[in-house]
Amino acid sequence: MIQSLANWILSFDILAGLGNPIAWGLSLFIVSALIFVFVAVNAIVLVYIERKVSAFMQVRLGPMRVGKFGSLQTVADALKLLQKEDIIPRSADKILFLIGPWVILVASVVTFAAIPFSDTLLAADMSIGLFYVVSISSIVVLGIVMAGWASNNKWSLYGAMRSAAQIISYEIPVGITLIAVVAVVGSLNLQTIVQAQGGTGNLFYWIPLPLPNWFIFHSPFLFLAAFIYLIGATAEINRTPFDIPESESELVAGFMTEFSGLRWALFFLSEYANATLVAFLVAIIFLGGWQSPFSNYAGAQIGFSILTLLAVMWTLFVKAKTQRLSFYPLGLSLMITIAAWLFPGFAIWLASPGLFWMLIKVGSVIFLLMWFRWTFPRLRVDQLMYVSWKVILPISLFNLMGVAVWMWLTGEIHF
Amino acid sequence: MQEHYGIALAFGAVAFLLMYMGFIIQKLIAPNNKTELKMDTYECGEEPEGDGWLQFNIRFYVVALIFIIFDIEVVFLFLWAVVFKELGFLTFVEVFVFMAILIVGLAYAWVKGDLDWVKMKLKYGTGRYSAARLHEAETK
Repeated sequence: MIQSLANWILSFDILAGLGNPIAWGLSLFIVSALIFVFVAVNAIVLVYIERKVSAFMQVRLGPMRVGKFGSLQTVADALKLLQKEDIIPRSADKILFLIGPWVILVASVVTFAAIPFSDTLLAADMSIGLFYVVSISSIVVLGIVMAGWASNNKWSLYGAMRSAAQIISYEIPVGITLIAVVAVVGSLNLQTIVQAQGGTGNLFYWIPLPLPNWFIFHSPFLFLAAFIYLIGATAEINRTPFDIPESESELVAGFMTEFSGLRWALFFLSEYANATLVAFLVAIIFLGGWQSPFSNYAGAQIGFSILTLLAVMWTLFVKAKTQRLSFYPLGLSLMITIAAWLFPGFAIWLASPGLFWMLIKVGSVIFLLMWFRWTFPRLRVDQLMYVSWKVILPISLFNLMGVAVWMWLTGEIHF
Repeated sequence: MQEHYGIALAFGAVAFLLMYMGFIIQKLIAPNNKTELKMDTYECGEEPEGDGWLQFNIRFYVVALIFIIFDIEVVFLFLWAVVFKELGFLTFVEVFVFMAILIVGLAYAWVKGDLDWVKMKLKYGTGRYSAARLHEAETK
């Protein structure tokens, strides 16, 4: 991606004299600046969406004042944070207090280097991409402990220690579920992992239900692994129901208590960057990444027809019982279906892989994370440890063995 | 190959630079009148009681110890998973044995009660976790 951008820069007559190294460096700067802008804008948009989704789930309106439907609320919030006084407590450990938030932010931005957004949009095509992402994203815990300890505040210290214990406990099951996927692909390269999920096949190899070759449909074990990964990842990014490190009702704000202004915004930014990263990983590893769910244009037409049928049934049988009838899902899927049948070009576009599908999948996973937040109550610390060490870890170990045996049964490997 | 990690480094550096510009703007427009109370540690409005750097419960360290053992297992398993398809049955058995040893370790920690966060079964526990009090609660 960087080399092709450099070639594009060199293709202009005025810029051709720059030479390849300078053009390459320039495009590296552009790409990294774009990724940072993506992370920042993404956080601002996600905060707004999260507030709106929470509001609708609680039958409220949410932010409505700033901009149309409150759409500029988070921009206003960011500007407010910019004007806040930068306070470092007198008794804090100054150096660690300053470094902590930066470690978290840089660690969460750097992981995006290895994430394939589409078949061409990828900054660094690392051969150990998955391992890199997993290892770098766990540096975040260092920053959290730094920030919490340096604050010299009891709330912060409790939050940081809880967070560290939680993140390292859930790291193990997450790692083992990822190993199950790596065993199926035989590569740690994220691009190879996505490419291995192309085409259409049977559900769980034997059940004759034509579904895309995504790893979530590969075997019952990987189906379970996807859920284990989602649970573990939710815990690793400290989101509800695993948000005891910053639970407002008992620890004020956990390790962020002493931080104010932009320094606090760094935590916020990296929190949403991490949520997005987890959504990207779920999409890449279990949901086929940038692959389209349809193998050809007829598949897209039929698939969207089935989707419309489901939307009709949803509207008739589920939504009709409630007072508030919403026709948006029905209308949207009906429009796409009609367009897909009328214009074969549109259907072909739907069936082709690309950034569009990646973002759809990532958006769905992020919505799922928001849904979790308003569905499950917060866990207690001992319950959290119980789930991690006594439930998820044995299941994931069993899962890994199960995947190996499944591969032998379906003839993917021969002994 | 190494250039990929250079790219990752550049990502971090550019993120730092761009965000630091925000801090410069903050320095220019944000108020700066520090007072004695403002610089105090927050403790729900009360005057902070003692130091914030408390001693910590040992169970956090026990969890960290178990984590290190299993994290090393995960690192080794990543290597195995990459070549699993090519090497076949022998490595499968070997990894099974490797994992079985660690599962025995997990079972040992489980039986010893190191995976319990709240150690209710402490034989010589005091206060409300003492054996006598627990027995009392069970017989009620």
